[in-house]
Amino acid sequence: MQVQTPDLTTGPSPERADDTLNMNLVRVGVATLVVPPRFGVSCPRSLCLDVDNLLIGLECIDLTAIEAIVLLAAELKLTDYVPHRVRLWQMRNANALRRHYQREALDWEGLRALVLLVSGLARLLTVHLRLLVTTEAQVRAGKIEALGLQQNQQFLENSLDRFRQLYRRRMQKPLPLNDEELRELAVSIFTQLLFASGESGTLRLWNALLAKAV
Amino acid sequence: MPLFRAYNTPNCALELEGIAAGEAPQQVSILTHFACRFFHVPVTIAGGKDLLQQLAAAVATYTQGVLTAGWGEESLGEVQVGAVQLTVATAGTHRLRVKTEDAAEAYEVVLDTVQLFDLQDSLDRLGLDPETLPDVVPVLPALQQASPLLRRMRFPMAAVAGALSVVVAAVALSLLPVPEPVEEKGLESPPVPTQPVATGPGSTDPDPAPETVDRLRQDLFTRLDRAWRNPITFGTDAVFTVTVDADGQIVKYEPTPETAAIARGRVVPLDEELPLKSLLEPTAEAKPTVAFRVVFRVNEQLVVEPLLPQP
Repeated sequence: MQVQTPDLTTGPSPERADDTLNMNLVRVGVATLVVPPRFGVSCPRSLCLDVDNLLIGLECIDLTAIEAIVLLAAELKLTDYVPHRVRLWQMRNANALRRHYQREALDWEGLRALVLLVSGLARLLTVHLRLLVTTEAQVRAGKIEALGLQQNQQFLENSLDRFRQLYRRRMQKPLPLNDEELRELAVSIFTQLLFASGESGTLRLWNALLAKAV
Repeated sequence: MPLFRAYNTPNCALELEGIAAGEAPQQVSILTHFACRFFHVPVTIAGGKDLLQQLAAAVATYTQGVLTAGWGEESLGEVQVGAVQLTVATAGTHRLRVKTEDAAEAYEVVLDTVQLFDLQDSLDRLGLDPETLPDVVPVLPALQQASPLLRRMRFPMAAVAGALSVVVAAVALSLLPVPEPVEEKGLESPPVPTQPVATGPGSTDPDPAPETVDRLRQDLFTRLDRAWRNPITFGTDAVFTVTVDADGQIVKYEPTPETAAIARGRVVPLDEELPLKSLLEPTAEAKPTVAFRVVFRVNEQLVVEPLLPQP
């Protein structure tokens, strides 16, 4: 039973990855991300903060993430919410820690669009996310030298450095987090992005964000 | 004719065997057997539909815990659904135990986060596949109410950076009275000094001058408003009777019976969350005091009004 003949397998194959991406996002859609009734009209401040952090996490892996998001928004027909990068920047400024914080909260529709885009882009970066999360665990276990994977550690350190830089440059001073806490934040964001890149990752990310929203 | 399905991810393979009992000839509607193989250890979890559903529920609940663990509060606990148990092995690794009652067999696998993600992904692919077991869908754990502890842990981040200070200052300024009463008070308070009241013979409430009461009221308002930084965690207005001495120091406060009722059983006492305990300066010496009724509204408004002496 270990041997499966190819014609019997129906799991999504790598060749169909692009199709399944679009199909699943359409199936998940804006409407399926349900807001529980205990939340008010505007979305909680912590959510604006978390979504912005996730976007920074994507940017530190891929510096062109923002262009990719704008393109992805057109592809997923989310241009009503994210028509161009300026609007995206304005939406991200709902994060209360940002330097250009405008005291405006995101509305739920905008938040849904951002969550769809984050998980859509995470799906494209899933190989990097896997590598980052695995390498972080190996570094913590002290196995890097034994495995001879120093180049992976370098990739992780570069990404973490970039995360710190991006975070520092955009947030107000003084920063409430020190270097070590920023590292922890980045690692937890990589884990969240990894799970968001899964098959029903959008729903899982949405649920996780709402579970701790205040 | 038996139908086979396989959901492969880099670290685990979920294989299903079933038959089509419905109208669609290619839809697996009855599961006869499933097997979940891990590639890093020679372990195969096999069983029927019940075990599959328990596995899906346990993994989804545990995953939710992993995703939200970065935000503090409780550490990842233990998830037990039926025969499936998931616990933290060490930081970053997770132990999956499956022990069925009827069969004496027990499986134990240690997964790292990526392997856990692959297991979750296999189960999600199965749940989203309309051709296989349409009644098995991805499990989403129920959302719980955010606890007050979580609120306190997540909000200092925003408050420390001073992001909120602008908002708070703006609100405080807008709540302050318009300039003319202040000027009026500034003109009139020198002729009515507070010393006579402060050195007055009565120790309870010797009917202080209205100007003094007004000054103390504004003083108390400013003190409380400046110190009140925590977000609202209560559902109804909190009402206190606050007694201040002639210098404006809070010497005593007392919740009304209704407020005392909502304050009972809280993790953080209400008077610690509100800026009452921190501002309290009890004195032994008997001084003339004035009592005010202070309302902390749920919409973050603060109301201070003089309390008429009880007859």
